Amino acid sequence: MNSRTFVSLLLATVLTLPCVSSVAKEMNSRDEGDVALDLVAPYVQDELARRDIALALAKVRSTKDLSRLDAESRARLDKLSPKARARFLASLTFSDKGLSGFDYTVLVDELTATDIYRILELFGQQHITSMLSDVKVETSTDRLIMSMSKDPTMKIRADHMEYRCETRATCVDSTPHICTSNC
Amino acid sequence: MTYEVRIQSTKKMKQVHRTLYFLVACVVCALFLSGCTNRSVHPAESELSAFEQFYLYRFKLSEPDHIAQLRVLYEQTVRPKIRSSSLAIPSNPELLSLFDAASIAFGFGEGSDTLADMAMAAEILEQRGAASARIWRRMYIAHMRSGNAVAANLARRKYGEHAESQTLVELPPINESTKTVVRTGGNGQVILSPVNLESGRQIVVIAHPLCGFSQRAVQFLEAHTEFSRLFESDVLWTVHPSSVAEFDVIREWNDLHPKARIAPATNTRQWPEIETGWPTPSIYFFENGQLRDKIVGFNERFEPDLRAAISKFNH
Repeated sequence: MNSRTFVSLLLATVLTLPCVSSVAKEMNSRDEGDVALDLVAPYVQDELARRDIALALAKVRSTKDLSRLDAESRARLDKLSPKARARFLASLTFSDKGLSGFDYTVLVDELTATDIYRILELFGQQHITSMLSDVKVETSTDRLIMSMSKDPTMKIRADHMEYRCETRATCVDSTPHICTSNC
Repeated sequence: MTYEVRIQSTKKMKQVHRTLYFLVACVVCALFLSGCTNRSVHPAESELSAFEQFYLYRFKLSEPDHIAQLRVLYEQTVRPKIRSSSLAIPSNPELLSLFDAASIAFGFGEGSDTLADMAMAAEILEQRGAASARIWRRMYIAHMRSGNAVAANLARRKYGEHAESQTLVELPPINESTKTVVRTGGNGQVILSPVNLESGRQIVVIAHPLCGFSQRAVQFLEAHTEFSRLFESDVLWTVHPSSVAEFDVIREWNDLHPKARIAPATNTRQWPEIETGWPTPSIYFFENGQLRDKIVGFNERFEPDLRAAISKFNH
């Protein structure tokens, strides 16, 4: 390899590095049991499909992805105070499907519904925002996000507060956490 | 002459290459230093207390000594801060963090001294105007778990002042010396009913309305008549006491599954037979108060294990 080729390869690697992490997404097909409840209603299927798409397009589906976040994504997390941010990041647990649990209290204590939505969007779990209690509602977007909890499709939710993902498919009582359906 | 020119030309090329290598190295370094490449967002451990570090990074319910370690850490590092005379000094986020630590510690043992810590932190947050609805929801649950319905209902009122709408139910007096569950009554009210597992054969099912595996388990059971025993009137469907704050979803579940009506337990102290953390779903088989069999989790072993357990239980 001559020096020109070497330089070109090196530059190409450096310049494409940031893009690689956001491309590595694979569709996570939900197994039939997860979508068994109330499937008679087409809107329920739509909601589940939306959640699957959000999960498939999520920037963060593992601890490794966290270390590759772009500046815009990091800015979303930076809305939290340093302590709350540290606590939130330390609380994240992942399964092979994606985010399986997190401490919701730091989000609720410091952020509005829109800010929480934008953080959970990184994990493809933005639908959880409207399920949280005691969220700050300040703008019309906040109100819109929180109004989703009054939708009947929310009956199919399978993310429970005050539980954390202890081992695969096992949620146990745990005060400040949410155990997601990815557990 | 030509030879000398060639040598000079080769030397120049080498210099150009060296300069290029140097420039590329500088660009790479500059990219990293300026943050143009993706930086890590790993949490700074220094921001977390020793209690938080242990609970968030190392704590496992399955590790037998972890609960004891957590308690020791709480008593050594959190309680002194809450009870310190200089409690006015911690910032609101710090105080919230202390409240959460007390709330976590209370979850393992329901100790009255830990409840007092929670109450102290909650009151100061309230005085500072920094107590949100979630603080009073936690206090409501904790007071119920300690058997104090009056204090729980006071916390409920405070919750109503902070929340958009009142979603917590008013509790009747609690008998904390027996196993008790909270059942849905008429007109949005709840009633407490004692549970007696001491005589005969009893089955207890732990399920949570928002647990996907509980949802799948109840659907599976409803679809298979051989498991209809689990829907007979003497079977108790219950859940961890913290779910008392989610009666809206419990009502939804109970409407969907009238033969598997969930009634949250009032505390965990009276239920030593149930695994710590009350994993969902799980099924416990009792005979004269003694635990005979249990099935935890809705996995590939659920069906054969349940079939075997019911068969053994019936003979």
